[in-house]
Amino acid sequence: MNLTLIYHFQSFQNEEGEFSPARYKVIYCFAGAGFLETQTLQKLALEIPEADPTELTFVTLDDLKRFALLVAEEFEEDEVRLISVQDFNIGIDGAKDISSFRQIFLGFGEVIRAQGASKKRKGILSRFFY
Amino acid sequence: MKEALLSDDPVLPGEQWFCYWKTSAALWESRIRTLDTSKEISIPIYWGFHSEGPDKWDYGHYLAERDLARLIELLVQYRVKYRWLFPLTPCPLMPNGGIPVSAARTLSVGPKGIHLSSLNAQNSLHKMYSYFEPKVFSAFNSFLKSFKEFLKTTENKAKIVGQQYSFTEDGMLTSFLYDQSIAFEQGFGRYLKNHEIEELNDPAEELRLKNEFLKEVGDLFIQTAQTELDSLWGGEEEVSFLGASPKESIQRSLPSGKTSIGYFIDLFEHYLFARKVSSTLLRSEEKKGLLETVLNENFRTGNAWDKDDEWEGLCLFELYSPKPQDFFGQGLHQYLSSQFRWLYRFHNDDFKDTDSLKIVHSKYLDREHFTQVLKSFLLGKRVVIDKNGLDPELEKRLGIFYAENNLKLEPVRFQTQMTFTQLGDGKLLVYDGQGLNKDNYQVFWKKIFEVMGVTHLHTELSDDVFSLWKRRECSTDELNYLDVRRVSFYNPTSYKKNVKLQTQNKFAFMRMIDPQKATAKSFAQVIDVELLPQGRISLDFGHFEEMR
Repeated sequence: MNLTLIYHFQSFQNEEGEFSPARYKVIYCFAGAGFLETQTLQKLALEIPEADPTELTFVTLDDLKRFALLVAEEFEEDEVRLISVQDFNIGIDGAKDISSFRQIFLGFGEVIRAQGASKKRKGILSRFFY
Repeated sequence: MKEALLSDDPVLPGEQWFCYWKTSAALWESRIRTLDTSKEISIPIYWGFHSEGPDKWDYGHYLAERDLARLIELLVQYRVKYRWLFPLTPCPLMPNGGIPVSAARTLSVGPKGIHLSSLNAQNSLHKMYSYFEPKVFSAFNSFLKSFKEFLKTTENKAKIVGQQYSFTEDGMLTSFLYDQSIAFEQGFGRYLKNHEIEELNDPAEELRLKNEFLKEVGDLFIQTAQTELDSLWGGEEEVSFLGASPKESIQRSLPSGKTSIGYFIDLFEHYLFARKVSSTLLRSEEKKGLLETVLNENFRTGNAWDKDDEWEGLCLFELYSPKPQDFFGQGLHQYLSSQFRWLYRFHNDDFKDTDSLKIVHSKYLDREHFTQVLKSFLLGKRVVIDKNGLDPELEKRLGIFYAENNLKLEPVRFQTQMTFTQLGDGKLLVYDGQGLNKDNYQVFWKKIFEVMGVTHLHTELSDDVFSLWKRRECSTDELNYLDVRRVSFYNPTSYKKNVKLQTQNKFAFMRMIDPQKATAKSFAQVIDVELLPQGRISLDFGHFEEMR
């Protein structure tokens, strides 16, 4: 299974109930080996100007895509699949078992290809997954 | 042969739940006659399964698997103790969350905007439908009336326990009632209209009202069930499903799956909050090994604190606060986690009058709880109160309480201002949490627990070794002891782990029980335990000194 990133475009409300303008928030990021550690993702988000690394939110879709490519490069993946929450929900609506649920990660969203993938050494990445 | 409690069995998926709709009615008898009659089974009512159309409910006329009268007959015939479980929220164990197809209109949307759905043990995806859809409440009400009338025609004497279901994701507990779908928004709109709130510009106020609306709807389902079922009502309880969150559905669908250690962390987190758990969604390959062992040994009823045979969970500390975070800033949770791991539990509501040391945050103390806490002290219990933020009226009442009971107060200055008093066996320590030195909390809490007379075996174990403590009364040949304590260690990792216990002149090592991939060596006042990967062992200790 490819690297997959599920995101939500929405405004956010903090614990005090204050709203911030709508942004692209990473909800889940995972590959076949498991979920990627949030700390590693937050570190990568630092490279995107105007991103909020703690919340993993991005101002534009382009920023989110740039972030997704950084993640793909870091985790030595050739491509990354971006799925919006809306698309994911359509997938859930049509799924009835684990097999059709898995198909969401193979057929929905947009696939973007990383430049210069596979340059890094393989075999050191298991520690980034949980 | 008796039924295994946990097996790859859709009818008995765990915690003694009997899912009648998961097999042919022709096979009920063969399943029921093999049940252990000393244990009570729980029968979840899949109420949507009994729907034959709007307001038309079937109990076996159209479909044999709905014949609950036959099921009751068999349970009575084979003397099986049972209780019914009735879902008060969407239930992930049931298709559509348990509601009838005719009422399943709008999929629930979770806190992250994702439709709530869970994979069950047979890899089916169960989608939750919104309880805020008016048709759901109407069907719910109609079923309850019909079910009560139906039960009158049977030999049933069992109570019906209402259950509210939840999941945890990233440490946050969320009810399956939670929703932010269009059905919720429409309901919320009606709620605002009924309360004559026309404009809502303050987001904080909107959030508060939405939470209030959510709670009111939850209460409405509880009250309706209670009223309709009347004398059959057996109260309500909350159950957290393992593996049921949206994130876990993804995790469980990945080739890597969710790790056993991940389930251990979740299970023990629930244990700290005294939550009932259900492992009924997990596949046999997810449960197999040490997870199945720990579930079988401790969570037969879903809650490991419950008394099982003669053993009950050993709780040295009861922590009372609306939010556990209230204690985090004072280092209490961190201290307990390192020195008394899994020997304490959090409460946010009901006050329990146990012998454990009670640590009470001022935010917990309304007039009712304040009275209960002081009464507990008068009855000889040990209580520690953080008075930071205490309502001035209650602080005044505390002063009156001291005077009325002629209590001798010992002011103590140790990191912060404290007042200590004793009455018979009762000990009451009131401190000001605001003055605590956050960098030196270990010294503070160590001293407090010495003053309050808490003693226990000192245990050194790494974060990924899990332990559960239980206690029982002494048998006639153990009269030298006050009680007997049993610790079970579990190593779900792939590494060898060591544990060291110090008996501290107050405990005597009695025996080891059922070591699997584990050894224990006893030295003077020290027990060394070695746990191989997936190892488990239990050790019994006689306690020969009063704790207080």
